[in-house]
Amino acid sequence: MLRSLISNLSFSPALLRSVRYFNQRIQRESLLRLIGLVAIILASVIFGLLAWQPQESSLKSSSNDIVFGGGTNQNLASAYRAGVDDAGRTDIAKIYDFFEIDSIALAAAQASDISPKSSNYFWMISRTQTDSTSQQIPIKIDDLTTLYMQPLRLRISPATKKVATWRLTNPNGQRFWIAQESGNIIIKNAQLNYLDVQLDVWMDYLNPQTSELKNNDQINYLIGFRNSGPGQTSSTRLSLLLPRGVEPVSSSMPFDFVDGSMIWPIANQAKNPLGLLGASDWYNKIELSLKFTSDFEAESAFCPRVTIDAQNASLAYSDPKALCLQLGEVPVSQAIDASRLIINQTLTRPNNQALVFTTSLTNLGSEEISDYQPPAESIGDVLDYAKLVDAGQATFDQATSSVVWPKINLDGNQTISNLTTFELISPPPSTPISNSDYQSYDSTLTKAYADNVDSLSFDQPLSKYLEAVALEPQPSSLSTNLLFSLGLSVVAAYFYFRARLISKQMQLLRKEFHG
Amino acid sequence: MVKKSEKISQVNPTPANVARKTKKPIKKAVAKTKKKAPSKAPPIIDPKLLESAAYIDAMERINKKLPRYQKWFSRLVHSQSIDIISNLLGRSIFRPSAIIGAGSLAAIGMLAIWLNASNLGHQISDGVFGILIIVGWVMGLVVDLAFQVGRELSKG
Repeated sequence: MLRSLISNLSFSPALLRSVRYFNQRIQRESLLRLIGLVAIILASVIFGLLAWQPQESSLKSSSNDIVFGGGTNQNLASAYRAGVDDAGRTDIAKIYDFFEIDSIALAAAQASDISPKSSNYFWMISRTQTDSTSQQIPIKIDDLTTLYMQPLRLRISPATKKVATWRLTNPNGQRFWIAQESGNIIIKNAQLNYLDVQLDVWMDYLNPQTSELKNNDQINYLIGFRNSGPGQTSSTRLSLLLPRGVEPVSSSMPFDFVDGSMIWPIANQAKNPLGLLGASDWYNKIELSLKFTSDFEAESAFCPRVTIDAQNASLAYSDPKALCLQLGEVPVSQAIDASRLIINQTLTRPNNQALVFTTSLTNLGSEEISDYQPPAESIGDVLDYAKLVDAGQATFDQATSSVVWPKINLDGNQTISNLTTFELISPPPSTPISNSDYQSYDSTLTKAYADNVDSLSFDQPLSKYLEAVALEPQPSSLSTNLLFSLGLSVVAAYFYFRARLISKQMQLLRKEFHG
Repeated sequence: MVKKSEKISQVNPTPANVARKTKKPIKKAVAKTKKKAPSKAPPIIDPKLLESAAYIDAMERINKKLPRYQKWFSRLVHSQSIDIISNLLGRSIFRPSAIIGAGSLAAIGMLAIWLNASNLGHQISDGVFGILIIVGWVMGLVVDLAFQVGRELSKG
C-alpha cells in the first residue's frame, strides 16, 4: 500500500487524500500495537520475576508422605532411628527396611535432582492410592502397611518441576532416591525383578442363574485375577476363546477381540501406561456379558477357559475347572475349593452433607480365609473435604490417615461389610495442593480401595481454579518460555516501531507536498 | 540469459531505465539519459520503472529528514523481501488484535495467578505463560475476525 501510494503520488497528486487516510489508519494501528507491546512486556516482566523468585507451596506435607514433610538426609535418618516422625507414624523403619535402606545409607545420601524430562523413567513409592488404580502397583510391606508405586510424573505437581532427592545405594548395591519433601522412595526400574511372581486366575458366573439357557440369552461372568507376588509382572494378558455362536456384549475392562478371542491386556504398556501387575491378596475383577446367538448349536457345550500369557511370571496358574454350559441347561457355579477374595466399595449419599462408603470383602471360594488382615483403607484424600463420623467396625489411624480393619475370618461364600461415614466440610476449604501429593485439595474427594475408586467433585472457587491453571502440566521448560517471551517482545516491538516509522514517513510526505 | 526488461533498457536508455540500473533518483537518471540518449530518438518510458524510480526518489528525500537510527531502520523495513514478509505477517498472525489479546491475557492472567499464589500459597508451572499467550493470541484473532464479519454483514 505504502509503496504504491508513494510511487504514484508524483503522477497523480489526488492520491494525497489516500495518503491522509492511510496515515490515519497506520496511526491507529501504531496505537494498538503500542498497547499490545506494553501488555507483552508487562507479562514478560511478571513471568521473569516469577522465574527469578519461584512461588513455593505453603502446604509442605501430606498423608502420602512416608516421612511427614520429608527433610534433610539427617532428618530422615533420625526419623528412621527414632522409629517415629512428626505426625507420629511408627512404620518408617519397617518401610525403609523392606527396601534394605538403613539409617547409615540415609545419613550418607547425596543431594541429587531428577529433571522433569527424566521423570518419565522413575517411579515413586508412597502411601496413598490415587484415582487411577490401573496406574499404580501395590507393594505389601506387611499385613498393616501397603504402599503404592506410580510413575513419578503422575505424582509431582507441577509436572515440569525438578524433584529434589537424596540419592543412596543400599548394601545390596541397589540405587534409590528419597524425595526431599516427602521421604517417599523413588526407583528407576519399575520392576522389582528380584521378587517372585505368581499369577492366579479363575472364572465363574456373576449372579446365580435360575432359568435354562436359550438362544439369544445373555450370561454374565466374573473373571478374577491376581498376582500373589511379591514381585511385579509385565506384558501379561488374559484371553478367552469364544466358540461360534457366542459373542461378547460388554466387559468392565477394555478388551481386544482377535480371531474369536477376547484379550485383556492386564499388564501391557500398549494399553496400560504402567504395564505392570502388582502383588495383592485380593483378586482384580472383570465382569463380562456374553450372548448365545442362534448360531450356538444345541449339541455343543461352551466350556470357557481363561488362559494367561505372561513373560516373566515364575508360575502361571490357570483354573483347571471349566464351566461347561449347553442349551437347555441351568448355569450352576462349579464347586470352588480355593479361597477367592474380592473387594468391593460403593459410595452412597444419604443426604447432601453425608457420605457413606460401604466396603465389602467376599470369599467366593469354598475354603475358609482365616485370621486375615484386610489392607488398610487410605482416607487422607477424603479427610481434605470431610470429617470422619464413624469408622464402623474398623478403627481410624490418625498417623497414617487410614481406616484399619481388625483381623477377620471369612467362610466360603461369606461377605463381610463395613460402613465408614463422613460429613462434608462446608464450605469446602481453599487449601493449596500439597507439595508431595498432587491429589490433595484438588477439589475432588477420592477414595480408592483395592481395584475400586469412588470420587466426588466440588465446585471450585476462583482461587482454586487459578491454582489448577497455574499447576497445569505443560511440556515446555523455563528456558523455553523465557526465550519465547523475549522473542515475542522483539516481534511486537518491531511491528510497533515499523508502524510508527511508516506513519512518520507519511506525515513527511504530506508536509512535502503541502509545502 | 538477458531479461526482457534489461534488453529494453539497453535499447532505450530512458530516465526510468537508467534510474533502475544506477539506483539513483529520477532527476539524476533523467540527466544521465540526456547525455547518453541518441538525440533524435524519442524516449520510450516504461510506467512501472518510472514509478519505481519515483518511489526511490521520494523515499530518499523523506529519509534525509529522519534521524540516523530511523534511516537505518527504514532501509531494513522497506527492503523488498522484509517488506513483503512484514506485510504478510502483520496482516495475519501478527495482527494488532492478536498481539493485544496475547499480551493482555498473559499480563492479566500472570498477575492474577501471581497474586493468587502469594495469597493461597501454591506453586506456578513454568508453562503457564506460554499457554496464556497462545490462548490470548487465538482469542484476539477470533474477536478480530468476528468484528470484521459483523462489519461486512452490517454493510451488506
